[in-house]
Amino acid sequence: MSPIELRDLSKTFGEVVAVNDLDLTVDEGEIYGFLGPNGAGKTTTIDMMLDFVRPTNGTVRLFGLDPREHPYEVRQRTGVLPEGFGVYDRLTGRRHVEFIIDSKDLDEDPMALLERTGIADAADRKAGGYSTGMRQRLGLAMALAGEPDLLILDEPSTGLDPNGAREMREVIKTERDRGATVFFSSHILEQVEAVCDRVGILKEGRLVAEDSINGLRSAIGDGGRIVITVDDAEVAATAVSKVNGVTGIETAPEQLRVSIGEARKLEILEAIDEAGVEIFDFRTEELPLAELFRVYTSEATT
Amino acid sequence: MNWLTIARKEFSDASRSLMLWIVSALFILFALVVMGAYIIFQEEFTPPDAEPGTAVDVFLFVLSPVGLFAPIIALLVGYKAIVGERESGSLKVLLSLPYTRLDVMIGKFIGRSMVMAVPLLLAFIILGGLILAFVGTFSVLDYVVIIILSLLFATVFVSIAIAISSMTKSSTIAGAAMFGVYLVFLVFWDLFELALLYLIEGTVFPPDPIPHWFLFVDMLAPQGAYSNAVQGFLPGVDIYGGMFPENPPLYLSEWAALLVLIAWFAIPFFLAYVRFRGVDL
Repeated sequence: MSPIELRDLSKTFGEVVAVNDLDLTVDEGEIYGFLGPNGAGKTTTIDMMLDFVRPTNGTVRLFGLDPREHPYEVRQRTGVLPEGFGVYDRLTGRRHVEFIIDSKDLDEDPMALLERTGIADAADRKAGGYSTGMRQRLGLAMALAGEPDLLILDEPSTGLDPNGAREMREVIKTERDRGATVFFSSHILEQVEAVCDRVGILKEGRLVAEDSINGLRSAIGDGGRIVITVDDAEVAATAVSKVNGVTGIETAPEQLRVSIGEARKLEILEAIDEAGVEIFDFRTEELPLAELFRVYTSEATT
Repeated sequence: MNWLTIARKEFSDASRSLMLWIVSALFILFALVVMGAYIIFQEEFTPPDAEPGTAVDVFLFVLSPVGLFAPIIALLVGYKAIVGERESGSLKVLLSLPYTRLDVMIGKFIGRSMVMAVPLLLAFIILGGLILAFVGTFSVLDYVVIIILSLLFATVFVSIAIAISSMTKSSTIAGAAMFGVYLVFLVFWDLFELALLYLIEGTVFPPDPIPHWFLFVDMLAPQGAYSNAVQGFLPGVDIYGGMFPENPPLYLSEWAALLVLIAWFAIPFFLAYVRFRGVDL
């Protein structure tokens, strides 16, 4: 039973199609990164998963259940950090977590949760005075209560400094290792790259790609580039040009830069070696993540 | 019963609002001033040949400020209940927990009604004590009836406030709607009655005897129903001043008044729920 299963999911607001025929399955125990530029329909999709917004068409199943018909079962097993999460200004951080614990009828220590997300020292301050980053940490603590089977985190690193974002990723990994499934959205590929087992890229309400980061790279023929330092660049270049899949070679004295395309790095190195050229050094140059993301979200990919 | 957790959260959240306490203090002060004025100047109010005011008279006199002031507090207590959470984004947290939208509305209503009940009960306890000290004894049972009806009256407005709060995405609009609700019930209703009177009887001065439909329309507003219910359920009080030597017709009885209160309490809330249940947040 997949924790998340979306079928033919669409949502139209008036004339605007926010989500368009989305099919998506998240497997148990994986970290799924839901990527897309702002306005791509990520939050609308998450809102439909949580029954905040009703689909125009299609179905949502969490743990095989329709969240609308089984609100208690589904929500009991799910921890959520919504986008633009708002606090109760007049209540303390601790009281917030206690409220979640009471609501889910759990037996847990609110302070332990606040400690995990690094906000324990502000536990007895009113949350209205928290910074965005602190609210985000509080929201994460609230989502983690009760060791939920599924964590849905909408833009969890909003307002966090790089250190906070790293801690957030650590928590996400720990939760996955505990056995939870994590679904989180972001508009920044770098943030999901480090933790995600799989990434889905949403563009204008459609899923334009779904794979691991490496899979995404090879799908657009970006095996990246490889820079090789050799004793004879001319001979090496001739050898490399015979390797299937190579898309380009630039030579400099004692150095060649190969766009490896569909080819495998090892094949290229072997070809040079077989030509009797000595390899002093090599390093790979991959497409920067931001560039990779741009390729999927701004070019015609359908 | 899972709305109980929401109600508790609501109570601890809303009861920390400074504004609410200021208004509540004003309410209690106002009730005390009105009662004090009545006790001090009661000779001016009672005709020379009448009996001096009894405790029940004082209660009835104090009910008009309750009728005017309690709706203000109730609307103030309730109007942000849902729209405020929608604006801040905390509604998404609330609804990601094991609650349905009905749980949220009921929890909000109970919690905010409890907040509303605190100043109201406080005022009644102080009033009861003062009347006992300065005016005379009264039946505890009658007093409990007055308090329960007053609480019901106040929660009618909490319920309406929550209903409206669930229907808009802007607390500014909700606030304006509260003002509108207050005006409609406590200002325009009387004007509306007079307009009807003019259309039907050709005069704005209530003829003698007052037509029954006029009494009925007056009872259809929450404050009219409240006043009729309180007076009808208190023994020895004749609301209609001898108009009905026997009992008044059923539709003008205290039970009809109670039914009107319950209807105001339940119908807007139910309609708002039907809408809120299906809406995109």
